[in-house]
Amino acid sequence: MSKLSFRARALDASKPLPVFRCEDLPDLHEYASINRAVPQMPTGMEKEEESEHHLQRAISAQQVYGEKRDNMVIPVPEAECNITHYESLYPGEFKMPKQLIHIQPFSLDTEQPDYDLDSEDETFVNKLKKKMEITALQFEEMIDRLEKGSGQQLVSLQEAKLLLKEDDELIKEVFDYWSRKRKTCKGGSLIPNVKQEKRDGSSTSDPYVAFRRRTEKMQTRKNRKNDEASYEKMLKLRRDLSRAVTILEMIKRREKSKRELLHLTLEIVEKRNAMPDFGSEVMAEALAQRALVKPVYTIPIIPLSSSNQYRHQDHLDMKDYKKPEKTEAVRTKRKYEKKPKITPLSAPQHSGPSVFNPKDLNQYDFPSSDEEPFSQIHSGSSEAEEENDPDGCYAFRRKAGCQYYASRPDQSGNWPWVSPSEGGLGDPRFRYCLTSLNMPRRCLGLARRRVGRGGRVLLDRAHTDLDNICQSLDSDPEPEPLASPLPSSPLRNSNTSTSETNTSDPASSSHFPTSPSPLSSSSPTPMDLSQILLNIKSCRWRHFRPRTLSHHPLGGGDLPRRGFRDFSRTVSALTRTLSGGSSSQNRTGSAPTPANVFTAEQYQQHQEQLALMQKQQLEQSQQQQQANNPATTTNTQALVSKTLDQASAQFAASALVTTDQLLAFKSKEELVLASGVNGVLAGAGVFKGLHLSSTTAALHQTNQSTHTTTSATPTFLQPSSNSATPSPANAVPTSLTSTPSAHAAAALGLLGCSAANATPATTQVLIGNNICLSVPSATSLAGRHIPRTLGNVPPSALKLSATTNLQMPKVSGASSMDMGSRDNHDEDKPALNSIADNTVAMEVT
Amino acid sequence: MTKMADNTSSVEIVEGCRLPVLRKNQEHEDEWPLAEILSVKEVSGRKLYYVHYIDFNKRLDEWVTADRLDMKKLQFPKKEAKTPTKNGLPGSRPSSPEREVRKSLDLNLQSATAPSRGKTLPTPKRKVETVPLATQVSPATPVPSLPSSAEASQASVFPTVRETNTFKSREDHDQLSSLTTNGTARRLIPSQPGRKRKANCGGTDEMIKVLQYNNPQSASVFLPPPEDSQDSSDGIPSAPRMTGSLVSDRSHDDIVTRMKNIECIELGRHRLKPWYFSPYPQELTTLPILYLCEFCLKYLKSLKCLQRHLTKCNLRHPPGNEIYRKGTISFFEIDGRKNKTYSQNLCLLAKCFLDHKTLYYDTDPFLFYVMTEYDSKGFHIVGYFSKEKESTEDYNVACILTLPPYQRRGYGKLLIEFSYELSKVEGKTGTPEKPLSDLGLLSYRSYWSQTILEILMDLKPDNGERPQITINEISEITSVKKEDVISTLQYLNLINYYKGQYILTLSEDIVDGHERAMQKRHLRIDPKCLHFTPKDWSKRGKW
Repeated sequence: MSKLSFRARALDASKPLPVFRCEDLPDLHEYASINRAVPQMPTGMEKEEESEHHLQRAISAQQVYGEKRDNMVIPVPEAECNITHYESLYPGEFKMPKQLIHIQPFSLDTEQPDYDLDSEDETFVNKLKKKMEITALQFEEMIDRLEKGSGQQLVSLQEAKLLLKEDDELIKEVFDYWSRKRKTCKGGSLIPNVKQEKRDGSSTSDPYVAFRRRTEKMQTRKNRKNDEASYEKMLKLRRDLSRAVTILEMIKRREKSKRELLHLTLEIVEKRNAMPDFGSEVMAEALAQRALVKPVYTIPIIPLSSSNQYRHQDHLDMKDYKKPEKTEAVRTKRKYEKKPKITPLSAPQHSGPSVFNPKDLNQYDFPSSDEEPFSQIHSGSSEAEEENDPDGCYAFRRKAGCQYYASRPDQSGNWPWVSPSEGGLGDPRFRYCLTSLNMPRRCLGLARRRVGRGGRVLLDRAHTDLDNICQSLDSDPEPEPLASPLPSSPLRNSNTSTSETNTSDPASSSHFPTSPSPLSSSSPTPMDLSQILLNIKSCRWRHFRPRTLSHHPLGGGDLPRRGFRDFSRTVSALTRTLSGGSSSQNRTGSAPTPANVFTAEQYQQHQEQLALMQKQQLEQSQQQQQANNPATTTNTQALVSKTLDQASAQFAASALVTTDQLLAFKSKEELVLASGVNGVLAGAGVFKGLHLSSTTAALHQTNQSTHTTTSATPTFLQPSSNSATPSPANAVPTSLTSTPSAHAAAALGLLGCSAANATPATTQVLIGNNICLSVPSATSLAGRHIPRTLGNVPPSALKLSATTNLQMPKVSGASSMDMGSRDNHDEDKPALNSIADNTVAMEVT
Repeated sequence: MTKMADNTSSVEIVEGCRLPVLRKNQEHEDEWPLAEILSVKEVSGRKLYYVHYIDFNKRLDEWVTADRLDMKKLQFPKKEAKTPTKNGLPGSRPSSPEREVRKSLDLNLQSATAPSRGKTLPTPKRKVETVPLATQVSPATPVPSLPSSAEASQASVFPTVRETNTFKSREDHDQLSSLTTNGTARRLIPSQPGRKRKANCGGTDEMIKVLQYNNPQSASVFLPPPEDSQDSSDGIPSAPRMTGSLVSDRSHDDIVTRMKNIECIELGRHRLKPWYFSPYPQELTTLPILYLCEFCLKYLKSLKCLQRHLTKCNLRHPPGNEIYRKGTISFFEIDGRKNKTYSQNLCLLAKCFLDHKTLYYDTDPFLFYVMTEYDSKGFHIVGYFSKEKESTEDYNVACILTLPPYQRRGYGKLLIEFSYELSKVEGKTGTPEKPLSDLGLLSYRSYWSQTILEILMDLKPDNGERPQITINEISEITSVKKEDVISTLQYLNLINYYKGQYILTLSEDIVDGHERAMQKRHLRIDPKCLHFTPKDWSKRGKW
């Protein structure tokens, strides 16, 4: 048997094996010992079970006999057949269908109750049957619903009544029975169910829990390399892509509605031109009619959301178009320039001729207020399609390097009039209180003031039951010409609202100390008029009335935050400017009392200006603090002057807007030609506007309204006079002689100032205004250029004064005055630079 | 075993005791095989003992009265048995419900605090055992220092584990639970490499692989007996693997699952005595008879309920598509995802007769092929097999069962044959999921033998040459996986090495035996009657 040492080859599954009969191979046994070379294959059984007695016996029996013997089989527990009740239990015949049975997907979902009546139930049902009608099936259904309706806690009778459609008596019987039975039942439910896994994972080893979900881990195939990570990546990618699609769709919608808006605006202009509605009476009428259709808002005493406020504000804004000097286009542009500041809902779409629903608005606004990086791409793309974009240069553009933050609806209420619970200051001055107006002399009822866009002061009116009384409540016996008999008529609302924006009395806080009972909640019981009067007079109710400026016109109210280093200085500067203003007033005396030339609208502009000034001052004081710049007098002066420059520029720009419509194109073109510089147009416009208004001066020269306007006038004229003070080389003389060029200087100053200032918000404003400018005048190519260059200047770039210097000549090379003003500002460059980036955020958010 | 003192009335027969127990064998002769007491209960003043006959299948376990116990040869559980030394004997784990309670208390303790090291290493002897493993493990961990003692090694290893897995608190918890069911922390250590790597590659499947890979090592390193090492390798403590339908490890073996819990099931005209535990709702386990609807397999607590149910249930066949019919035999295909209720009911019933079947997870990834026999009442279930929609391991059968009343009548082979017919249509070879039961092994071997012998005997001489065939060819023709072909050839002793090559030899005994067997095998699958188009489940989003 030396062959034993022979090593057999491994068994090759692909190698043919000849098949022999044993009888043909008599010498096979000689090779038998080598057979072990073939590796033993595992049986596939558990080891310990493999050794089990019966199995081994069976296996050996099979090997011995070639088949199993009856007594060698593996014994199993017996099964009993022929249950006697089977025939009765499963009644009926079932005929085998000829075709193979194919089950319909939803044919299994029968509406049968899962609960099956047991004998105990049967007795109960039979007993119940004597009293009322019930079938076994009905009973089962009821129990089924009760069972499925209750989780850990049982359904109560009330809930049961809701669950079941049977009449109450039956429900009560069954419910009582069910609750009794349920209490004695061991397993949680009367419908036995396989235990479910618990969410907390505590049931992992409970042997009675079965059929756990296996969705926790994604099934990845072993032989593929798609593991969970890549799966998640794919999920993320898919989500991102779908998001991109959504955004693009929204952009599409936005652009479409923009186009729509433009078409409508064009249509309006054409219609008006055809009418011809140059005096815009028709427009005013139309707007007034529209206002009639608008619902009257009942403002909650404490507004719940900022969007609510803003919507109301828009409402008021819309009514500002008593004189629709502003085209719709302006409105659109405004919306864009201001959007980052306000919640998406508050975008003043109302002004547009087409009606949007707020939901659309929200979505519409979404992409542009989005702060995500790819929004840059969007703005880029919108620039790319500028050629066919109807909005053209009106379209809002993002400035490179400028950060735009999304509006934060949660804390948008960082305003003095917002209650502290919403993050505001809750300034008592801005609570709802009785408010009177000067222009239509009357009491408005409950209202509160707040600063709106562009520094407008807005009055939020609250509806109370006292309104009627308040209407008649007027301490002044003077008749009010505009008061309409309908207290809440929208028309009157629109009338008053123009003058509603008038107030912001700086001294009001001192005059009306925080009274113990501010009228924040309207008393439900109607009060006697005299009672109310009494209350007011005894200072129990606060009553707000605009005041005439006597001595300290602007200081206190406009600087709510004290502690600025230059506070007193600013005040003094302001007073000085005031005096300068008054002097200028005297000089402009050539025109019939400039105090009277202002319409309510202009007054409003002035208010804007004030607010802007305030903001500027605030900024600058911060700026100073940050830069640790020694605040020299000149510096402050310069700052003030700049502020005022800007303010005046603001005014000029807005005035321009008004003149845009007031004047025919022709006259404007003349002016453009006359001045040669684009910026001059603004000033010219202002002048024209002033002139116009002065000729068509309002007749209310006396009484309080006069006082307010007088107070306004000096401030309006401040810029010129004030800028004169620090920089003699500046536009002082011209501004003092209220010639058109003076205003042009103001406007140019504005340009230069804003460029130097580089406060994005203002720049934006300017851009907007300049864009407006360029619309009506076809010749203003340069005008287009200016805003662009301005817009292209990122705040960071402005850190280098050189760049500004380089650009400035381009912008307004012709104007030496502007240069001068810029020189003036160059002094505070370091401070500016330091603040530039900070203010960006502040301004925009 | 201090806990033993519970049942010490006159004789101390407690869980874990071993003693000869009287039982009748198939020839109705008395025999006294050694048995282990798994549980004790008292019914109307009489004590009943749940016994497992050692070296007999669990299906023969039963409740016996005291008079069947041979008290003279009573062996108490060894002291060591407290720590789960499974001395290689099947089903020898001594455990009691009472201890389970204690363990769960331990679990609470340990999950609340980090497992104390003192506890994890109960005996000095263990320490010594764990040392090599710990050193073996340490390369995978950032602390590779050779520890001087197991304590130290654990200390070095443990924080790493916790650190890498803190976010998987649930699994940690489970780890602990398994740890405490075992009584020691030894399991923690072997599973650690897997867990370590799991944190890296993040997939259960991966982990299973890793653990299986590690298995031989740990088994060799581990002193403890094979069952234990299997526990440690396969017993992913958190949750069993998600593929397949059978459990090969007993790490989740609760004492509860080792005992039959249903006394009797009435299904159609049959009363079945379950063989194994099945997780039917617990409140139904106390019933003398559990009633099942013959067609929808719904479980009902009483005959009255079944009667009521039958008025509402209009099924007369399994709720699936009939894909095969010849004579009275039909096959229905049921999607485990689309028809959950039926699939679950079927699984619950099947679990009564399949020891290794797991119902841990839902039935979604399975198809169920139910074989029925038609009579005037409808299509009665005879048996079934389940099949994974997508199998990564060439399984063409997950669980397979002929219901006891139909056993030993050729239905099992018919089921197997049908499963291979399906594989033939799919153009794949297949094999049943492991582990096989004793009956499963016998049935499959028998089927394979007959199938292969059929082919070999049909081979005709080819040009006067010896007929020859490759193993691959057999596999292709039969759809039986190559390994199964080889093992069958081996089992039948057909492969011989003769003059430098392997040959297949057919002995007269084999041929005769085969011919006799084939004469008895009249139930065959007719491929022409099969109407089956395989679906490519991998292309579907879900099963």
